[in-house]
Amino acid sequence: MLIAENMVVTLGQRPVLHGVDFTARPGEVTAIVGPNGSGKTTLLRALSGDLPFRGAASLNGMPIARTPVWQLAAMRAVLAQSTPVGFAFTVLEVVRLGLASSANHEAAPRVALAQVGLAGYEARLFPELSGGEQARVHLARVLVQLGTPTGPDGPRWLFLDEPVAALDIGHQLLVMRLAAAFAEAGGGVVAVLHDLNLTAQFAASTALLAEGGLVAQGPTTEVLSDSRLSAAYRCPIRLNVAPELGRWFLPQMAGAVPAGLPA
Amino acid sequence: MIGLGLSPAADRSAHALRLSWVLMAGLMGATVLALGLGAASVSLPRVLADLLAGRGVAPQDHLVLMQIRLPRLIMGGLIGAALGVSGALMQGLFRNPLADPGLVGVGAGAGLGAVLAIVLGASWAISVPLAAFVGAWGAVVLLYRVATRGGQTSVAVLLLAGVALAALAGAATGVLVYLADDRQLRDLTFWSMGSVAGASWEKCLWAGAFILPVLLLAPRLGAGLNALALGEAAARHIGHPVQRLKTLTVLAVAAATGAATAAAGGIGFIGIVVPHLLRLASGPDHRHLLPNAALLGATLLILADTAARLVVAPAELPIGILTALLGAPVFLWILLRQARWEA
Repeated sequence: MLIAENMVVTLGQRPVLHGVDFTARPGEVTAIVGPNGSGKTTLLRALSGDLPFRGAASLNGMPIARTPVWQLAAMRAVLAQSTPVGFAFTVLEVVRLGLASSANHEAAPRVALAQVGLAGYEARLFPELSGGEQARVHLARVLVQLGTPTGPDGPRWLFLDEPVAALDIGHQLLVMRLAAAFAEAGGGVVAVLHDLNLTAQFAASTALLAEGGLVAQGPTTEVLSDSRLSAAYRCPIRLNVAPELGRWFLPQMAGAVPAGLPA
Repeated sequence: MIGLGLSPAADRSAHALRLSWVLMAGLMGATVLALGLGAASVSLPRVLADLLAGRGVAPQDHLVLMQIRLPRLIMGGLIGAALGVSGALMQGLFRNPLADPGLVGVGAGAGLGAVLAIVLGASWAISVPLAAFVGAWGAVVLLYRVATRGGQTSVAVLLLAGVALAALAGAATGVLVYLADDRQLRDLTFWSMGSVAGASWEKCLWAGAFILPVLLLAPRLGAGLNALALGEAAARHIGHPVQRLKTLTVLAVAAATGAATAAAGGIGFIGIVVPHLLRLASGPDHRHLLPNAALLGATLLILADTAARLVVAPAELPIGILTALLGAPVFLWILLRQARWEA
């Protein structure tokens, strides 16, 4: 379990999160959604151990703020919004950085690259890839870091900050399916998402943030309601259920189409 | 160089290890050249034959080799290795191939420390390299504070801060030189030209006391510096103790740059040329880059020093002139390449 209670994060003088409760269970994808500047990334960074915070947060029963980095690294991997690489490493070398020791698991980096659709890219130089390809290399790296979705000391966790932001629609689905498969195999996934459609399709649980506070957390179907989303994003949003897709909602702009666009 | 940045193999470790053997052979070759060539004629085959026959080496050969060329060779090797490794460490710390201790003011900081020690009347023993070490350490810490925000380094700020730092250290050094007496001025002048000409066994000992621990420590920082290439946060996420890594790297850069500067003045560009050539040949993996940078740095400096002794023999060129002639164009070339990448 990932349990955070009354998390308060202050950057400089400015409070960015005030008293957020958040929980995530292994076995499902938990989404963090909310408008720009609502504190999504800050929450994920605090849970990753990157930011000092007040309040309590624990992962698999271990207090996040007091667990050594190597022990956290064995339990959870973090995919940041963007991770520039300082030197011209090859794709395989970047993925291998996720391995605790390169002695064993020789096959794992290649398997992970195939999973993210980059088989055959091993010898390419990382800086010469497109942004979307680089993002998937880093996803392969965090998958390699965790190895399997569960370990002897409990479930392992993927923390993903906007994992699909740089990707085309096909690769968005590929990445979300990988995350879902990781969760189905017993691991935990916490993902900051902007795309409410993907959230509705893949996340069993969702936390909606606005202005540094938690609006609601619970089953995605309950949290993503017209009124909550419209209030949080400050624009009218209507959910359309698409029956042929099952648990899929289509948030749509309601009201007037901006002038100059076809209706 | 093999595989000059063209379609690298996915895993270049084996290649880097082979390169280590080639570099070791190169260092041996440079050693033989440096011992055998010089103003006085010493025939190495004759010395070897004397040794093998148990005759004892001719007194003049013994004097030239043991009191002049061997300490100078060891000093050159130590300093070249220190410059190569401190360049690679510094570039790993700042995640940028342009971060050379000589270019961004760390050498100037070390120089200020060394000049301070000389003007305050310290004899060349532990105090000069120690003062240079403190000066270099202060410069690296200051640079990191100024140029790195949120775990990411701004190259523009780094280079400009380096210019400011070098100017500041240069001004302070100027004040000290102004205050120095005639004998100190003479010491300072020879020191500042950048040379290993004054090498003695005592100097080798002090320089080695700073440089050898760095050469032993550096490869152990390799895996951490590889992770640091992803930024501080990602390195921590992977499980590396980033703060300890940074502290050790800064101390190692300061010790190596400080000792090299104290012993031989300003010898530029080895720290940028050596790691860059090695990255082109076998990739940026610091676990291999750091030991290979020590080998290639030592080889290049020994060769440059041998050339400096021979070109205008029996006089000598300051070695800093040779390394700058070689290094400055390479630096510009790296700058152009990087500018093209970022465009």
